[in-house]
Amino acid sequence: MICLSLKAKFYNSYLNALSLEEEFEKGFTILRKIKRIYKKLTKKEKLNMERFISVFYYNYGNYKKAYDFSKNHPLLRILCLYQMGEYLKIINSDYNILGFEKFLYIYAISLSFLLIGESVKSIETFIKVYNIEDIKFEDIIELYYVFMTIYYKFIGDDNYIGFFKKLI
Amino acid sequence: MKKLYKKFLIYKAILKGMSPDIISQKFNISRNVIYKIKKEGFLRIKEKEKLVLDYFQKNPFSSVNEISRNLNFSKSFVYRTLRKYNIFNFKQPNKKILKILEFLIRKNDFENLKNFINYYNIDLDSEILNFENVPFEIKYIELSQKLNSGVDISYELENYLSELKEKELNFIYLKALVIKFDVLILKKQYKEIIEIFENLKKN
Repeated sequence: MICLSLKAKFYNSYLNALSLEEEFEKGFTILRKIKRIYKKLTKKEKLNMERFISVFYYNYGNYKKAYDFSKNHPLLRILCLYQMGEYLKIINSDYNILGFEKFLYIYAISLSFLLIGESVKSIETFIKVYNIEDIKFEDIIELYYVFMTIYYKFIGDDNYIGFFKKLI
Repeated sequence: MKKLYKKFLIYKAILKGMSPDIISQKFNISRNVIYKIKKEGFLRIKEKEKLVLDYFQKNPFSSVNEISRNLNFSKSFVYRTLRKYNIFNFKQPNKKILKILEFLIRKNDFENLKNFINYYNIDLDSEILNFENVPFEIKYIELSQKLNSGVDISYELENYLSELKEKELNFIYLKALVIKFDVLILKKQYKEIIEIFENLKKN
């Protein structure tokens, strides 16, 4: 196909589907094809493509490569740092992210605090979630549950299930 | 695109009722050009170019060589035309393009609007256009906007895709197929995307 923009969009969707289906071998073949057209794309197309490549590497488990391709996608960058155990870098980061992505950002910061042993700061950070507009508690309850599980395990209290039940 | 924008400004000046003399001085062009724009509008696609673009619309997988062979045009002409109309890389909307779009929407000039978007291959992925009664050829933009605002477009999109196939608007079909991929991702039907892609590869 001579239309590179369309080709790039197709590769993005295909790569995304392959990584979510965990068909990584086919994904690497597409990555090789992407390399061939990458230089000829516009800046916007390149940025968009980098996001999909980063997500592919993230799902594959190569967080270092995923991080390299996430330069212009703050949330992806944070998730990669989290997987690489760079908790301090996450805590010290300052990204302006909006909406549901902001929730995930705060979530990653509070988990990072938790994992370096700052449980009070962790909870304090997590509370900021309630100030985000358009976030309903029902939407985040699963992640909240995970957070509280880790939190109570961390401070050695196994009664977290009771606490969770009270919430719902 | 620079030339096109200049033509657009001239067209606007004509509509405002400026005299050809003043327009000619202001834009440093001959009166002939002004009369031509007045008669044909600012979006004129040459017949020869239209043949190439329409052939590509029907056969989006064809190469420059194939097009030149089948239409009996030189390779360089085909290449220049495809490049001029942003077939290789879609045009990202800049301020000038948005001004033209805004003008056409305000004037309800849907004929030129669809020609401008489709022939010049403007990539309107993240732009929000407020229009009603969208022409068939650019309905994929409306569907994409609906999807981004959380509306389920599956049924409408399927009908649209099959109509595009029927009318042999294959290049637009491929553009609309990208939206279908987004729908399938949202529905977590990843296997279907892989199937579609692999079928396309076979064809």
